[in-house]
Amino acid sequence: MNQFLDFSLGGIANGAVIALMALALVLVWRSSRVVNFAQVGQAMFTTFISLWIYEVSGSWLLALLIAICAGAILGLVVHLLVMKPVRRADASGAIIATFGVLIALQAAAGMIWGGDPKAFVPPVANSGLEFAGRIWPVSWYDLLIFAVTSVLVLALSYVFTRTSFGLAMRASALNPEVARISGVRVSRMLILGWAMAGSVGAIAGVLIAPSATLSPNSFDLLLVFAFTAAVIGGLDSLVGAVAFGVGTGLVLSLVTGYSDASNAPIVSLVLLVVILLMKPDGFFSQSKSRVV
Amino acid sequence: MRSRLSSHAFICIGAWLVLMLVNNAIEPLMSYYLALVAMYATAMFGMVILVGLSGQVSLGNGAIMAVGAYVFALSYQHWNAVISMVLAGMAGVVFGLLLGIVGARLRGPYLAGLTLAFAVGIPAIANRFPSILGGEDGLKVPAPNTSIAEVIQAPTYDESSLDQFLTDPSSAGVAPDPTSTVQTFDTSPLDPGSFALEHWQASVAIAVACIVGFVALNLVRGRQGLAWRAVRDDPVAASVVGISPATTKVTAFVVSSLFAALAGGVFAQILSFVGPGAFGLKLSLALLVGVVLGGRTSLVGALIGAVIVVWLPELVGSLGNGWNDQVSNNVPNLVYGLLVVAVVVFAPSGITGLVTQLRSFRQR
Repeated sequence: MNQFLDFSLGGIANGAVIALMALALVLVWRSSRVVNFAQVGQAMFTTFISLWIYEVSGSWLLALLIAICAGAILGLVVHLLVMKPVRRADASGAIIATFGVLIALQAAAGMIWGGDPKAFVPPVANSGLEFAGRIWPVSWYDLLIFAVTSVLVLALSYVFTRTSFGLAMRASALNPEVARISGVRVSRMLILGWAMAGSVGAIAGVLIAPSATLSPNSFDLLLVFAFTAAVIGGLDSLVGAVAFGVGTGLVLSLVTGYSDASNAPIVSLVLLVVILLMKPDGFFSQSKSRVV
Repeated sequence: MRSRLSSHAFICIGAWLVLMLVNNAIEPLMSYYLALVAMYATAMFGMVILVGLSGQVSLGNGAIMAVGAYVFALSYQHWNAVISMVLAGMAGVVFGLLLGIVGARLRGPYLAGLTLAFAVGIPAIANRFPSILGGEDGLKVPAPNTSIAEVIQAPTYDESSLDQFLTDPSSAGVAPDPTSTVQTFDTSPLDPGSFALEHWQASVAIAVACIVGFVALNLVRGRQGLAWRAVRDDPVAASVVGISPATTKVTAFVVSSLFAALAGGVFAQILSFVGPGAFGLKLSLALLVGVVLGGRTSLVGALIGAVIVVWLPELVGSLGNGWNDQVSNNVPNLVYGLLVVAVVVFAPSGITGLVTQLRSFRQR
C-alpha cells in the first residue's frame, strides 16, 4: 500500500506537466480546430532558449519569463506563417503542416544546440522530502510544479469563464460566424489562442526539463501522453485536459513503478484505443454532431 | 477493363525489366540506394492510398513496416523468403484491419494522434519480448548466399544513428557495409556483371515494388479508387450512392498496411537486421514527408517521394559541408520540414501537381 502511495504521489508531478501540455493542445484546438502536433517542438525550442538564459543569468524566474514570451512569439509565428495560409478545406494538409513544423524545429534545435542531451538543473532541490519519519517521493521542485500548474489553471479558467475576453474567445471557438456578427474579432482570437498555447506549452517544457534531459527529440513521448490526455478529456475542455493529464501521469507512474518505463507508451496506446472506441469524442466534449 | 489490366501489367513488367537492367549495370553502392528507393516506393504506394485518396492522415505505417519486418525475420529463421514475405503481408493485413477498425471511426486529428501513439508504442513492444524479438539488439536476417553472408558483419545500432535516421536512411542499422562491398570487389573486381549482395537485395526490392505497384495501379484507377475519393470528399454523398464509408476507409487501411508490411519485409532484407530503432516515429514521418512532397494523390508522386527521401539527404548534405557536423547533420531535416510546410501551403498536390499545372498552363 505504501508502495502504491509512493508511485501515485510520484506520478502527480509528471501528470501536472502532461496536463499543461494537454492544455496547450486544447487551447489551439479551441481556437482553430487544429491539433498542433508541433506543440512539443515549440516547447522544446523555447526550453532550450530558457536553459540558455538560465545559464547566463542564473535566474530561473527570468528564464521562465523568457520562455513564456518566446513561446507566445513562436506560437504566433507558427500560426501566421504556417497554419493561417493552409487552405481551409485541406484538413489533412493542416495536420501534415504541423508535423512539418515539428521536423523543422527539431532540426533547427539540433543545429543550434546539438543533439546531445543537456541537463536542466532545477532551481530548488529535486530530492524526496523527509516528513513524518519517512522520505516521500515528492520534492520541493514537484511542489513548485504543482504551484505553477495550479496558478496557471486557475488563472486560465478565471479568464475563460469570468471575463468578457474569455467569453469572446469561447464564442469564436464554438461558432466563428455568429461571433463575428456579434462583433468579436475572430482572427484576433485565433492569434491570441495560438500565443497562449505557445506560452502554456513553454511553461510545461521548462517544468519537465529537469525531470528528464533536454534534447531535440526528448519531448516526443510527452506529445503522445499529452495528446492521449487531451483526447480523453474531449479536446475541447480545459477541465478535461487537466484532469486526464494528471490521471495519465498517475497511470503511467503506476505502470512504470510496477513494471517498466518502456511499457508506458504501450499503455498509453491501449488507453487511447479503448477510450476512443468507447467515446470517440472524449468525456468532456461539448460539441456532439459532426457530419451534416 | 481487360485492356487497362494488360496496360498496367505492361507498365509494371516494363519498369521491372528496365530497373533490373539498371541494377545489373551499376555499382553495389548505387544498387543499395536503388533497393532503398524501391522499398520506400512500396510503402509510399500504400501511403498515397491511405493519406491521399482516402484522406486519412496516418503515422502508423512505419509501425506496420516494423510488424512486417519482424514477421519476416522470425519466419525466415524457419522457411524461405517467399513464404516469409507472404506471412509478413498477412500480418500487415491483420494489423491494418485492427488499426482500420479503430481508425476509420475517427476524424483527422484524432486519427493522426492515435496512429502517432501506435508508431511510438509498437516498436517498444520489441523490448517487451526480448527472448523472441531480440529486444534492443533486434533479430538478424541472414543473407541468402553463405559466401556473401560471411563477410556481412552484425550491424551495430546506436542512438546516434537513430537520430540521423530521417537525415540519412542509409545510416539506419547498417550503412552500406564497406567490408561487404570491398570483399565482393575482391572476388570479382569491378565487373559490372558481378552480383553482389546489394544487387540481390535491390532485385528483391524492385520485384516487390513492381508487383505492389501493379496492384496499386489497378486499385487506384479502378472502382475502388473512385470509392476512396468519393468517401474522402463527401462521406454522406458516397453512402447515398451505395458506397459504405466505413468499409471503404477500413479497406484503405488494410491495403496500405499490406504494402507497408511487404516494404518492411524488404527493409529487413536490406538491413540484414530488424531492430526497434529502425522503425521509430522517424520512419513514419519519412513516409509522410515523401508522399506529401511527391504528391499526395498520385502513385507517380510516391515514386518521386521515395527518390526524394533517399536522395535529398545526399543532395543537401553538401550544403552543410563548410559547417561542423552539428549543423550539416541537421540540414536535410530542416529542408524536409520547411519543404513540407511550403508544399502544403503553396502546392498541396506536391511535385506531380505542380507538373500537371505547368503542363495545362502551357497548353493554354
